[in-house]
Amino acid sequence: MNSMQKKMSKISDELFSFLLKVGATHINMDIQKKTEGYFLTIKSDFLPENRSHVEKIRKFLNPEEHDEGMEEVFWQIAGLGCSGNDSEMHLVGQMLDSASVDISDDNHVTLKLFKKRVI
Amino acid sequence: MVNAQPFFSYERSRPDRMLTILMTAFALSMVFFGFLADAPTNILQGLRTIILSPAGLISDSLAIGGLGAAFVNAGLVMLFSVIMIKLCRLHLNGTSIACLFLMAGFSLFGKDIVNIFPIIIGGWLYAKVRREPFSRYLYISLFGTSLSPVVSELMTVGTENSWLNFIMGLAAGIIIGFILPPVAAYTLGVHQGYNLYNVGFAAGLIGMVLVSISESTGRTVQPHLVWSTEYTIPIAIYLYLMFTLLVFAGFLLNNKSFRGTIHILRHSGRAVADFILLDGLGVTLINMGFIGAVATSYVLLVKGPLNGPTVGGILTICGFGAFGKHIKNITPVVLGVVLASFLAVWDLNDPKVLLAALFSTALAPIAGQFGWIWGIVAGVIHSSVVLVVGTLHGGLNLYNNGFAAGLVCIVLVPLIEAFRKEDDE
Repeated sequence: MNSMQKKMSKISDELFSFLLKVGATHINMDIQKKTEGYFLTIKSDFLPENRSHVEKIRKFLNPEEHDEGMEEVFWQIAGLGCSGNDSEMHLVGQMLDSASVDISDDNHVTLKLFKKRVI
Repeated sequence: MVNAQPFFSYERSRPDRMLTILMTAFALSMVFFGFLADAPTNILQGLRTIILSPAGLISDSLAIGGLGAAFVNAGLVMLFSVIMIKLCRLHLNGTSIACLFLMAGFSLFGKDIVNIFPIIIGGWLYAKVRREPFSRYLYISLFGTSLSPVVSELMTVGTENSWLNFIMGLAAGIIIGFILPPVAAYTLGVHQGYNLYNVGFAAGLIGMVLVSISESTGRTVQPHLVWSTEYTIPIAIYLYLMFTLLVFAGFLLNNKSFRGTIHILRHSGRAVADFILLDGLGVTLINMGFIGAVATSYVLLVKGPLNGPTVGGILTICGFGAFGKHIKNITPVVLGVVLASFLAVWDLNDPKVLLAALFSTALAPIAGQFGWIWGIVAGVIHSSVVLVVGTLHGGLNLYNNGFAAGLVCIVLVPLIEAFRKEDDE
């Protein structure tokens, strides 16, 4: 597995851990590998009392600035240890090139994420 | 009509420009302080002495080259690091601040404007071989200058064959810089980000291998102690002034208030905890200035001197005040070191113990994530481990506490997680 694939695996691990932590009982994931990059779509439910945590990830997954230096230093710890904290989502946000977070009134969230392939 | 943005403008969402100004100003303040402290001719001579002297632990640059030369060296290294970050088109953030203060701090006891270059060149070569931009590996390369004493050790050995020594030092540095990125990436997974000085852990392992090879060839490398005690008062004035200015700058940038400062305490500190991106620049500067002043006060309280190594520790704490550390997570770990001193054979103001207390804050994420008790336990264990492991790398790894902290994490974190109550399925 090359480093790009490992990073995608880590991103999925971290997001799965987060969703399980906010009470997900049904998670669907779709990954498409295309020429330009990886498209990852995750659909999940969550517990209503955790809504604020889910809404917070909008900010973390779409940071104002991407720091490839930080990504390269820290990507290995994505998906490890205690998850769901701000710092872990912040790291995932630094590893992505774009993200959209759609939260419905019936406590479902759809994440559409994209990571460019480095050729 | 053209809308020109004032040079000193500050956008809350883009702190890069303001940070560049602040970091450059801090670096220049160190140079300025150096020139205030000593005459230019003495500074030049002192710089030459620092560069040509062995740089392994514990080599206080203030004792080796004088107060002026040491601070000029530190300021120049920090300035060079700022320039490198900007040349690589990276935006300054919490990671950068931690890196810059680390570079400045450790340039007061071990790093200099010459011995850092080979390792950085090695990192650049690694990026070239992988056909990736050097910006991806700049931070690792800068952090990796923790092994710059290897370069100095080889370059300054003996007086004959000086060109051969120079080439050996250069080659060794380049090799270190080349192998460090993959090793550092691997070790991060070992301690899961609970050791903030990850590169110290990786460098310690590499240093251990280097010293082992060196001993096999009949050459022994041992740590030594060069430690000044006479510069405490002027340095205290400088540090308290700088930290007060940091807090003041943060206050101004935070809409002239301290609101939100307390929210920084909610972070465990485990990587990645970039406070600038998470909480904003103003709050972060306040945090940095505050814990920098607290660290300075701790050294003075235990009657320790302010010299190269202790100021290095203080600046490291201050820098990581932008990336993981705050008063709530560093206090338990330092308390652990203090408590251990009542049972141990050493005193709190012994050089190695003083540095252990300051640099034990690498384990702040353990306290932040798992609570004060475990933070104290981590500090107690770290205080003993760090006194022993330095010999494994011959003092050639400046981030010895990072090495020790990594070992502590490997043992402690799995234990803590095993005893934690499992969440309900």
